[in-house]
Amino acid sequence: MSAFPCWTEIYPPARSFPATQAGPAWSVDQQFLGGRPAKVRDLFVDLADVATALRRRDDAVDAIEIHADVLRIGAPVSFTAQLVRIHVRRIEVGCGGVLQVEQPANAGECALEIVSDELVIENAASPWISFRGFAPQLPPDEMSRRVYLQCTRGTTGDALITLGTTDEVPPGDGLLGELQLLTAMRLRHRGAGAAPQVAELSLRIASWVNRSQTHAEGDSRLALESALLLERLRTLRPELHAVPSLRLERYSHLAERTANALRAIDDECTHLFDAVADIGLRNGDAEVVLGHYRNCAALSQNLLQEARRDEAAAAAACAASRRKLEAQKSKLEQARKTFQEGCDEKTRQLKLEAGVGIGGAVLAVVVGVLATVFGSANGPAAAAQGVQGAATAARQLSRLLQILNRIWDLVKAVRATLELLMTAQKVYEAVAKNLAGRQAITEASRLTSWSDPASGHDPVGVADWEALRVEVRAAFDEALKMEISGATELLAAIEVFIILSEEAVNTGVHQARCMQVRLQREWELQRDTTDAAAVEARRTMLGKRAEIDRATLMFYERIQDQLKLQLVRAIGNMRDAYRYCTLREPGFAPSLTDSGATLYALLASAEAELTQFLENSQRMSTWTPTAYRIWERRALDELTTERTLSWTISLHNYPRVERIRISEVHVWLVCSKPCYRNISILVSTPGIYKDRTPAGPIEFAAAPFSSTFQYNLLPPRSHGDARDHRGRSVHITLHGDDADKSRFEPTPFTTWRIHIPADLNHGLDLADVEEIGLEFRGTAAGIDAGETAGTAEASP
Amino acid sequence: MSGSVPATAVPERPALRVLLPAVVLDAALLAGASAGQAGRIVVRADTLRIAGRCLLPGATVDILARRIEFAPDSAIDVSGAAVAGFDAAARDPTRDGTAQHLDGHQGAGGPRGNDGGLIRICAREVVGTATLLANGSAGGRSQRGGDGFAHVNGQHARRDACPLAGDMPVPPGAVAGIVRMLMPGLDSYQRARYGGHAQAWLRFGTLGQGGRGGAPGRPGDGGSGGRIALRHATPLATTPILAASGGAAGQPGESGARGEPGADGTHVLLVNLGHGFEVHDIDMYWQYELQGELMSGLAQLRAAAASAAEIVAEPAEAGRTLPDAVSCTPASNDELASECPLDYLELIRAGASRDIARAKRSRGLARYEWLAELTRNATDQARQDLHAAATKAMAALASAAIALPATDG
Repeated sequence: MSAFPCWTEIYPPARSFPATQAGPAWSVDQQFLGGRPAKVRDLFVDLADVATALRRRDDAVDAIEIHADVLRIGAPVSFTAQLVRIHVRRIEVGCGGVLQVEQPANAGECALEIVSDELVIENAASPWISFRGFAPQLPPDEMSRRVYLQCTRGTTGDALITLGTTDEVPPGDGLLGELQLLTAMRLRHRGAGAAPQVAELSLRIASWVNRSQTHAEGDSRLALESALLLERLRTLRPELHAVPSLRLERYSHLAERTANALRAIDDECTHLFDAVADIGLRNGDAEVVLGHYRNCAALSQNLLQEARRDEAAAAAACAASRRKLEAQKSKLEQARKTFQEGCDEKTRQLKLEAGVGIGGAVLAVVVGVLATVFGSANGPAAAAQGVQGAATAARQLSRLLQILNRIWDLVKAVRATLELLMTAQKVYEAVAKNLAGRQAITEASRLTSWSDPASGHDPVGVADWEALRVEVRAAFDEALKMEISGATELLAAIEVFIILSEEAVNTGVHQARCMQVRLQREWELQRDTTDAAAVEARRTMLGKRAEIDRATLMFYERIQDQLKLQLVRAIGNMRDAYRYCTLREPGFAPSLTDSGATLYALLASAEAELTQFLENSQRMSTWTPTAYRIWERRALDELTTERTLSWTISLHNYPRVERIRISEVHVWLVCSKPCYRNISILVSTPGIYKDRTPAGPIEFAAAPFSSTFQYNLLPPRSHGDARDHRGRSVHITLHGDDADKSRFEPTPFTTWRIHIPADLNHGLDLADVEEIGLEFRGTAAGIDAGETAGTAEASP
Repeated sequence: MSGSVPATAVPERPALRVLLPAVVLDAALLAGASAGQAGRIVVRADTLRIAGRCLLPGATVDILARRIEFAPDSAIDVSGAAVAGFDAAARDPTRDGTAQHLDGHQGAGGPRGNDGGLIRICAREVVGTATLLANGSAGGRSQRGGDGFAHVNGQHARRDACPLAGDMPVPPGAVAGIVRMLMPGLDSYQRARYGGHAQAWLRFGTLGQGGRGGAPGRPGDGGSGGRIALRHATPLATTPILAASGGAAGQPGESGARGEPGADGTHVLLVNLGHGFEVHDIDMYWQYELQGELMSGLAQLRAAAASAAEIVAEPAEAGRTLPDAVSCTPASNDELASECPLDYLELIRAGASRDIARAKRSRGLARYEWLAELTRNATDQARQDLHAAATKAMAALASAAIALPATDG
């Protein structure tokens, strides 16, 4: 029994390539039965079927082309042709399977070209290619992506068989590439229950199409489409749940609208395919589809403009973040130098102490010994004095050892700190590289690197930052205990550097996402425009004919798939929004292979599920916890020196309420001296938010939040009366539009960064700040159980 | 060199050169392929694996490889193709005896066996039991002799009789002569009128023995043996099996069957006296006296029919075995190098480079070593460059091996 997968079951059926009872899809294609070269095109092709179909041809065939995603060679199959070209993603060779190529009797030359990405052989020991009787040994681990076996006539008239191998991938069939990408998208959206290897399969297919179409002679449109699909597939981070930027209700609304659009065209497409099967397609039908394509192109134009705006905002945030990071880097270097000097100073001091200690100890020991010797001669008192001196000397020696240990500790601390600096430096380089890599994707011409998995730059994760933070604090413990000059400053600088790095990475990731969306939109616009033109051209060519070719059929299927994909995405966004809203895993999973009716039913069930949740869950009510009052010296010092304060709210801070969502954050300064003036404050988060679910903590990735606001600083009052300050609040919005209430609301469980920009607050002496207030407003469930706000002392 | 084989004339069959890094000669794949029709096959490879009994009848096979591996029960067989002789028992009626020539004719000679081909193998290493065969094929079986003439009986003879007038030709198998009329009751006038000159012929077929069976043809001679030269740089682990002997002589066909003797039937006399005499049965007119020439002809025919001497078939010869037909000798690197064309050396270098790139370190190293050995004493610039490249690569690999252990086997 064959160990190979059943591909016909794995691949979702494509209606524009209908398989018939009589044989495989391509065998009924006139292009194959009468074409020169005879071209086979399908997702899965069994070579034996090709040979059978070839025998049905009336005339001899001199060239054969096989384009497939998977080619199965399960038995010896012989072709007599001048050129046999096989361009497939994967080749499966069963036991006894051999591809035999013979040269026609009257032909001077003969060639076999195989382009493939993956070779699986059941029996690796036996040859699987026979070229004029000779079998080049090509096991899977030595198989190149392109193999060219050639038999030519030499100058002497002798035939010469040679083998050329390269990793270059010449472009494959465009129509098959379209079909492969369609399949990859369908596999990706297959929904719940899909095997993990199927998810891997869509990545492999997209990568293969990209690799082949990025060739100089490839189809740039297919290359771009596959590159975008690849990027979407690669950036899936299942451990980090995405949060769509809108509220659940908005997605529900959008999904409903998309469903209506799909409903409109779904029936028509079904009718078209039925019509093709029954009476053939007519010009009028093409006109209808052309109208849909034009509508899609207009829609894509609007979406592109929106994506461009988002990207510009994200790019600005990213650039600002990088500038801050660069500035912090120089400060970090300065702090490192100060710390180094502090270390040197401390070392000198310890050496001096040690020298004095050793001298004293040696002297005491000598005196003690002498006193003992002479004391024994001069009497018991002297002897006792000598013993005491010796004991003192021993204590001093002990002290000396302690000092030496401290020196050793110091050395260790310095070393650990310097290593940390190197780690931070590496992190910075990773960040820069990451951002550079993300920037590079804007260059559509550089698509080659997309297909290479090694070139993917994984962003530094939340866990990495946390680990680094813990490591920094642990390493500086020793230095702080020893009171080395500059240690506190260096620690602060490193922490700020880490925070800024995290922010830079997250803004970079967000920018990359925006770029991705924008590229997607650009490509979609390009695709829709091109498709509309192509459909128009085809409609013109179609005339009054009833028969249409397969390429035209694909357009019909694609327009339906595009709309269906939009609906699937819309429901996918609903899933993300539902998860963020309810903190439960959604029970509805859309798939591109679902019919339109199934998707409408899914949409209805999603809304029902949400309604049911809202009815049964704890009531959401306004949440106004007590404000944080931050007066910790270290935090205030950081604010003074760096003009920045970072404050992390952990899940333990609000243990009794659930599903907290913030709509406003209030920040204010309390100064020791009267200061009546406008103050500008920047509040930001890195975009990673935590929350609790019944199954445990969960992390969400969303766009980083950043907003600057101004307020009038009022005279200090009692801490409990802080809410009386006017104009000190900022709404949580992602795009600066306070009136837009449709945007998502973050959780408080993240690192809040409060920055007092010097250029907006001229003359403000932050040394006068004796307290910072931080207050959240929003909604939460479980308020009835009572909740007290965290305080600075209770905060992490 | 002692084992060298002089270049033979290129046969009319097409020549085929193969230049591949690694190749398998598989008997099953070769069987139906056009490569089997090639008269001269030149294989230049890094590694070659022989699987099954590869039949290339009469071909010249010239192989150069770094490593040749013979799978169990595999062989390269360029023995002459077996010839198709005559069927031992098949009859050819045209060779049967006739009334004029009672004995069957000798059968046709058998075809000559095909000569064995030529195998030249130069390799650094031969793994497995090298089995190389270049025998001449056996001669073909000769044709069966024709059967002896079988007499027809008297009833059939009567059908030869017919009324005739005037002179008539003597039919086959008959003896013509004068018949003297001894019919009683005729007077002299009548004898003078009706006798006198009478012509008659006699057919004695019914009188004789059957013809002897014809001898079979001369069987075909055996084909001559070919040549085998196996040259190897490293000692062979197992003794090779090399055979290049002449083919055996062909088998003779069967002798023809003796013809059936004639039964004593009616003697037919045809008398033509010029006066409209009819045909008579000679027994009815026995008193007619056969004259001398008829009597002697009858005796002659009887004597011929009675001959029964055996006819002996002619024997064939076995094929020749060439002197020094088989040689298996060690070869120095220089001798092997002299066999290597430049494109082969380039192929080895490309393969080694690919191996290193694909982390197949051990094989890459082996290929570089082979290349270095083949180009060590090169005089032309291209080969010297290849030697330098191989030496440099080996040095780099050696230093890498010190730094890091090899990851592949």
